Amino acid sequence: MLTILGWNVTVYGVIVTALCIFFAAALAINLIKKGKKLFPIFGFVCTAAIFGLLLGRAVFCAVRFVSMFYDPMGRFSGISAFFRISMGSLCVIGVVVGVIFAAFPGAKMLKMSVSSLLDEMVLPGLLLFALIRFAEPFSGQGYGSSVIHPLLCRVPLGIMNDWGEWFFSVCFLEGALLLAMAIGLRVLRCKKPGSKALLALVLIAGCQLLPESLRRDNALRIFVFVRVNQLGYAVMFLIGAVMAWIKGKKQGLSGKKIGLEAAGVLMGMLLLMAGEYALDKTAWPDMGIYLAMLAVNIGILFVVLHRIFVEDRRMKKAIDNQASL
Amino acid sequence: MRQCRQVRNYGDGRFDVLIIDNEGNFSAIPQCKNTDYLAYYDEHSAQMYQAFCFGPVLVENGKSIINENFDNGYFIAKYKTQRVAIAQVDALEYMIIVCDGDAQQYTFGMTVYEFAQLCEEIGYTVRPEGFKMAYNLDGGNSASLVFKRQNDQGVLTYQKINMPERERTLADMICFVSLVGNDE
Repeated sequence: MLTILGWNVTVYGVIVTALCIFFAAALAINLIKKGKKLFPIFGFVCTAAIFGLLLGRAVFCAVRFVSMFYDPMGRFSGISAFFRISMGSLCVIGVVVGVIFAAFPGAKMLKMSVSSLLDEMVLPGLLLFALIRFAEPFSGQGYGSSVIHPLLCRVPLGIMNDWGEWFFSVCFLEGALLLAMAIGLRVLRCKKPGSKALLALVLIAGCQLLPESLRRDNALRIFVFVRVNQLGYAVMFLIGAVMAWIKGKKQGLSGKKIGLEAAGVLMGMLLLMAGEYALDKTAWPDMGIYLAMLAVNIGILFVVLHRIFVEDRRMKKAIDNQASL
Repeated sequence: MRQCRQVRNYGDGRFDVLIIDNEGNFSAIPQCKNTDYLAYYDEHSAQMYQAFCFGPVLVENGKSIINENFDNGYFIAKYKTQRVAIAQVDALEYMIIVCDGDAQQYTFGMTVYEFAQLCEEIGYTVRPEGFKMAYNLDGGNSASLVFKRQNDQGVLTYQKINMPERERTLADMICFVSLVGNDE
């Protein structure tokens, strides 16, 4: 804990706040280069911060409703705990969704399309998310199962506790995947506004789903075993997939093809859920279950990413054809 | 309640609550509701030390109090699975009873009724009057009996004894710790 201006704050909180300010500034500079004015940019950044904090806090409080709003004797103690930063935390899914929602009023403030604004937010957002994940050990979270192999018993692949025991650093894996996404999307040229953001949404959701399963920390859970972030990523992935199919339908993609892809993705999701069930309820080897889940995860990711790519190219072609007419 | 610190009261009448007082004696509030706990707390808070919410109470004054048709719809009570109980033998004397099982198919292990019968039998082997009380804790894959022992590399580590191939992340535990040092 640190004391800054009389407030007790955690080291992790300070790091995350500093990173958010840094990347908000980076986004602002990008938008200024694109001719946007400082005041609306500031307005958008504040909106994103408020939406992200409110929704992140709301999801956390909803999951931990009893411990947040009831006193130890079981009496309802009012909703003031929602605003007490020292109590509890935020849910990262809520923060991400809140920031995405902020793009709607933000686009109006900046006089640009929501799709273009979301595209601008992708790279700083991914880098921010990656660095927050790398910093997660400062919060005491981010770890998986215990490890004894010398390669894993060192930073950054491992996290050591106060008793010298090493655990796999799941947060490092998640951060590395986000960083790889950021590098890949930096290089990628999407033809149509909004395609990059949709790709990022599907990639984040699809690539973080399995690593979340490796966590053995205090990750938010509901119904005892279901991780809230995994549930959130699954919903985000499905929303991304549905948006890709809607775009495809507008471009004349056949209902049969959409149906086949949708069936494949849903089947994949069910298999992933079955994998999670097997991990908890059966004595089958974990490695085998995880390899099977990885194969399924890659499969459904490929299906949806391919659809987004194809529709992005088809849209551009259609626009180019129209322009040449 | 943990070490006299009241943590949470969410009794909804489904679970028996085990109370351990500051002399280490067990008592229970059957099918405890929020108001039942409040009433008990108002009367006994000075003596209360721990409170656990799961159950049911299996054995009281040596006798199993679970009938063959017991099923409160929550502990997969009629299925065979791993079970674990904590029992008070006598003043400051306790026993942990664990039965192994296969949570995959619920075909191996014990029902709550069978487990209560087992606890009653074991109680009579350690004390003529049987256990003062035996209380069921979370079973299935949550049932974990862990000892500190040396692994193959000679390092002291915590090892799960029952169904070691399947371990679940758990939020709570009952831990027996000695004040006597390793060298004493």
